[in-house]
Amino acid sequence: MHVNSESFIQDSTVAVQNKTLQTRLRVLTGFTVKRNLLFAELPDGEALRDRAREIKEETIGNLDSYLTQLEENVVRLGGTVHWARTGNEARAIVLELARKNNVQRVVKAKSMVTEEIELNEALEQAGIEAVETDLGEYIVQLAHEKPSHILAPAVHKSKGDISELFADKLGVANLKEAEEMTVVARKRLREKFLTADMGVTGANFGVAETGTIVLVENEGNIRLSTSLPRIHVALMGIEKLVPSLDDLAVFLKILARSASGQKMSSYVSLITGARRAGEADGAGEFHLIILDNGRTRILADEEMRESLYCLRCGACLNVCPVYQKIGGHAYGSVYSGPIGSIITPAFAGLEKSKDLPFASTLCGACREICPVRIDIPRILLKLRSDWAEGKHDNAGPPLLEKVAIKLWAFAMRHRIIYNLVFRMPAFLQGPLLEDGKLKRLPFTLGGWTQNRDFPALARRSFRSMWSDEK
Amino acid sequence: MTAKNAREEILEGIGRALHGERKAGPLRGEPVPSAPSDLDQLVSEIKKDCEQRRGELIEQFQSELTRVGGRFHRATTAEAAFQYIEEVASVRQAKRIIAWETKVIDDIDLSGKLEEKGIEVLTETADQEFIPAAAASDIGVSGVDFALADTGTLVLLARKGQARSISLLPPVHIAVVKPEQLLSGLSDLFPLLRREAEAEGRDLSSAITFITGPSRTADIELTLVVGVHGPQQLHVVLLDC
Repeated sequence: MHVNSESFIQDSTVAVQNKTLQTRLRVLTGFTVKRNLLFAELPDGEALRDRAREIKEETIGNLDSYLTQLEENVVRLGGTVHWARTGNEARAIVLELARKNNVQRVVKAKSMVTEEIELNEALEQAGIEAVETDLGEYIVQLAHEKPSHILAPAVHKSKGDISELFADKLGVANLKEAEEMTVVARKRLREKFLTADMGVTGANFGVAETGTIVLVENEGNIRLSTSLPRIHVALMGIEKLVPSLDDLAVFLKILARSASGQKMSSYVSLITGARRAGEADGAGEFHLIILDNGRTRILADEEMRESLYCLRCGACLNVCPVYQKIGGHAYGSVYSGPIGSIITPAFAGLEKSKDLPFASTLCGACREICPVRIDIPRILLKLRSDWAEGKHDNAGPPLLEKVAIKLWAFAMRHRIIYNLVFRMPAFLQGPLLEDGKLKRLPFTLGGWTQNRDFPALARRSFRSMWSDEK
Repeated sequence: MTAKNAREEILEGIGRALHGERKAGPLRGEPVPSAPSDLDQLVSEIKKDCEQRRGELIEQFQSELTRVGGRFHRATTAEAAFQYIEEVASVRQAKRIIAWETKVIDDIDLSGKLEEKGIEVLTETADQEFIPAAAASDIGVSGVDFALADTGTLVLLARKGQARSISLLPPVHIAVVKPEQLLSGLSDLFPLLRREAEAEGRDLSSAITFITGPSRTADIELTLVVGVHGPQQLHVVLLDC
């Protein structure tokens, strides 16, 4: 997976000062408010979350068997199953299908996994038009940007930005309201749907017992992508399975509530194979691409495994105090926010994204809201610890930090040295004090005081006061 | 890079990651259809329960549908249902309507009466290419297979006579629901879908669509806009006769 997370410190430093961006992001709290109301009125809401997690544990724990079962059913229904170890292989499969079927135009549903493998770029390089059809994705594609939120890809853009974009790219000027812009996009995209040869979607769930792919949406673009073009290609990460329809019911009850604060999304499509004889519409060919792309590696690490339970609902982004300030782009990955900070290092390597696990206050809001209760703070701490212990190739803290920590550890174990080393600064801090506080620490310690003051060190230690009292 | 290699490598990788040398655990998911006697009993219990609570379910369905922006109309005769559809058509100045070919819709007799008024009524077997015809229609009229009271959801199964585009391409969708199609929610639905699958010969319908209100988006500043790619209006006619 391609990431740009190495410049996270610089990018987030710029973003955190962007008040306009923060105003845009503030609307996301509306999702959280509605989500909380809906869960409060759902009598068995908490039990459903527990059940959902159990189902994920069971499915992921026997993933090979469930994947084989799904494959058998899809094939029995006349669909084709393809397996891709990497994003490259998945792209090659889609391109080959497009070539074989003489596909000129592809309509795409919003799908994190196609973002992950950068499918649009590959299609365009092959001379095939790939049109994003979710309104937010369409806006982001027109602007040549990346989505900044799992659920609301264009949340970083204002109405004014989008109006300018539509004037520039679509030649429709002076659009003021969201309704007008939506009408323009509907017309443009309707033409694309009616002339597309292939529809590409992700998959929210794969139901092993029936060979069904489940797609959840509000706009209707996924229904169009699966109903009109002659070929439907669904891309699915290996982790997206549920065993049975009854299990699916559990997830459908919590997904829309968590994602957008709705009891049910406007549309849920259960696609079981291609169109059957006698039907008037629906894709005549159905292809399912099952993608690994690093997921097996995550599966093998028991401490990381639960990050594969993620439903991509986006709820953790909306409640994260860090995401709320910096938005999605600074993370440099299609997966942003708290969940992105654990799965980006897992997919792309900690050495390429070492700052992400540190981009958290560990407040635990993400764990509280996660519909399948992924313990994101625990995994963040694990990744921090992996980093500090240099468990990854070419990854680890700088030499100075390692030496400093070693010295600290040594001093902590030797009382006399500890007293000497840690009493001294209390006497030497004089020249650095401003208004009784340390506002600028020298040398490499300056990082501490860049954004906050350090309190003055007490002249007398607690330990000495304690012994006097006695 | 053959497909077979990738498949085996992924499955082996998963096996190693999960079980080491151990064999995979047994599958919990029941194949379709599950034990017929249990399913029969469950389905009849669900049906009985929904029948007893029908009044309550209708009320709940109406309130949930309205909450998500759908419009509810109760008709006690096929004639009254027709009048409602005609009224919507006249407000929308509809020139063309496309409809399912099912018994419920036939009973309302759209084509006979609307064509007198100069409104063309098409179905999927009309002598025209279907998708362009549906895209050029002003109103789509469908039945449903089930309706879920606790979320105001319509459940439509794709099959001959029940084309997907009819509830999708026209800007207005009118769905005709019979009271006996009302279920309390998702938990009732799936056993009944299994039963449908049995009737169809082991498999679910190629496309089962849940519709909850009109098409919507909030992608621009999280402002709710209704009618982005799917219908802008959803009318439900409860045909209670």
